[in-house]
Amino acid sequence: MREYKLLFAGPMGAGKTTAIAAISDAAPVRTEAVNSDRVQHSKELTTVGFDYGEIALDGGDRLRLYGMPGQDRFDFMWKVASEGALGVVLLSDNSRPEPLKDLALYVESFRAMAERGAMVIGIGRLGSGHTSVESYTAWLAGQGLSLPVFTVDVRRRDDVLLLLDALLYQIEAARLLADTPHA
Amino acid sequence: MSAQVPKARKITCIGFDWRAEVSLKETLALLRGKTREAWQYSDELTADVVVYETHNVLAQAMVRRSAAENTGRVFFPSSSEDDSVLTLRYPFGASRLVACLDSASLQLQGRVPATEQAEAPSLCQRLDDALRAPGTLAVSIRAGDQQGWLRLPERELHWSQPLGVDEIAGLLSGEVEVEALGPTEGAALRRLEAAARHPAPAEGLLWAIGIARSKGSLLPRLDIARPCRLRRWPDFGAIGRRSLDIRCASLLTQRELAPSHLAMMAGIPLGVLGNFLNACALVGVLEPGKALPAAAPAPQAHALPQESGLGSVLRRIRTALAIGQ
Ligand SMILES: Nc1nc2c(ncn2[C@@H]2O[C@H](COP(=O)(O)OP(=O)(O)O)[C@@H](O)[C@H]2O)c(=O)[nH]1
Ligand SMILES: [Mg+2]
Repeated sequence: MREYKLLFAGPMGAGKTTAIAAISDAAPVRTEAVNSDRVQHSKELTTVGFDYGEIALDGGDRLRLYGMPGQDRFDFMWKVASEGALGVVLLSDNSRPEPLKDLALYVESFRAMAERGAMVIGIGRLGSGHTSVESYTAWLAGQGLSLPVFTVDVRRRDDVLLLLDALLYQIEAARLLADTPHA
Repeated sequence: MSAQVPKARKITCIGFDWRAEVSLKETLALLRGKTREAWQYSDELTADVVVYETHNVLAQAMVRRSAAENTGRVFFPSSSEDDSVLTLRYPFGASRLVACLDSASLQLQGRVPATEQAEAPSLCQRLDDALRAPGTLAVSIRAGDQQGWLRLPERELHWSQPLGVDEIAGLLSGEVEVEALGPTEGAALRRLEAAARHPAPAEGLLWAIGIARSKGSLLPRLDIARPCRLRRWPDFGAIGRRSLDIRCASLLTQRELAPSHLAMMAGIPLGVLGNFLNACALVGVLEPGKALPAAAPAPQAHALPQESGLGSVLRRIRTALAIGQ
């Protein structure tokens, strides 16, 4: 059996648990992980929680879905989780005070995935904030990134599927283009 | 005396994946001579017969509107709880399709076909021309008793009445007048501004017009051999999308490609791709690439590669979630 993983990241309340619940075979579970990062944390062992869900694939393989905690002090968790991940869904809560600052933090944390296109951004609660979709795409363009940015409400399963559909095509397109010489 | 050549009836489908479109076209070609009347596939929502995916909101609205206006057009849903309703589900079986078309022929008898000159430019093209005409300050859009205006350069859209999905469906299947207004039409501009006060997202309407009102032809300003790219993703969270739109956007945001090349890489016929490109152009996200026009690469150069390990994983995830198949 082989295992693959997808990450869901974003600030608290952005909808990570909701999105995972929409597509996971079973209700997501909250799991504790041991923090063994001695440099960043004074206590040798602390625990952090993350959401976990999974999807069974044909052939007996498994897709693991991780909802990564939002606080930046858990940055080390992201690094561990990113290793070998297929891609990441970033969820933004546009009603927060500085959504573009949140975006910057997550893009930085998952820079490698952003650069190979394996990232999509879902903006929730668009109308409850003052940041426009164009501001997100303009900020990304300033970073040399052209990633899918969609307004979503992840309480609708179809919106979660849109994010995954785009993420899978992003990964596929990057692979296809890597094999294709420039015109 | 001129021989009366029977004109082919038109059929279209809404809400299905592009594979269903291609399959419908191919099945129609195979059925030539086996139906009461001749049939041809059309991209226009004004076709005599519409096959629609039952859950598609736009299609539902069109069915309601057509019934209310007594247009006599015939709709076949992909499923129905009522056993007496003829349904057409993808993959379309030949004998079921014949039964549906013949039933439609009977229902359509005596109906005056929509007068539509094939030579007239598509709504997509008229709107694109108006938006790009030098000096345009706003574009007036009139459909029935709906009056709208699209102000440039912000592309803010306002209507005289709030529009629901029914009205938008009407707009997309009926007569639409488009007019570019420049600085010399100050009075008309002021009238529009006063009449149309209900803001609506422009991107969704422009996208839908590109997809549904292109008459199956690429905008004249686009060229299948000239590389182009998307400067950003359309917001598919806010506008109706098909899986093929997402697939093509992934490629065109990551690399500039000539449409002919894109069609090959995405494995999508150019005829189907044209509407996507028109919609991107109308929304304003398509821009010319920097590379010189290239001869289309030889097909074998990019024949779909053997499925790699990653390809197989992606495909199995799609299967598990039932998306984009
Ligand atoms: N309006 C709105 N509410 C949402 C959205 N996504 C999640 N919520 C709600 O926000 C709350 C927190 O969501 P949750 O999934 O627990 O966020 P998490 O902290 O990222 O895991 C729940 O009550 C959700 O129903 C969204 O896109 N729009
Ligand atoms: Mg949570």
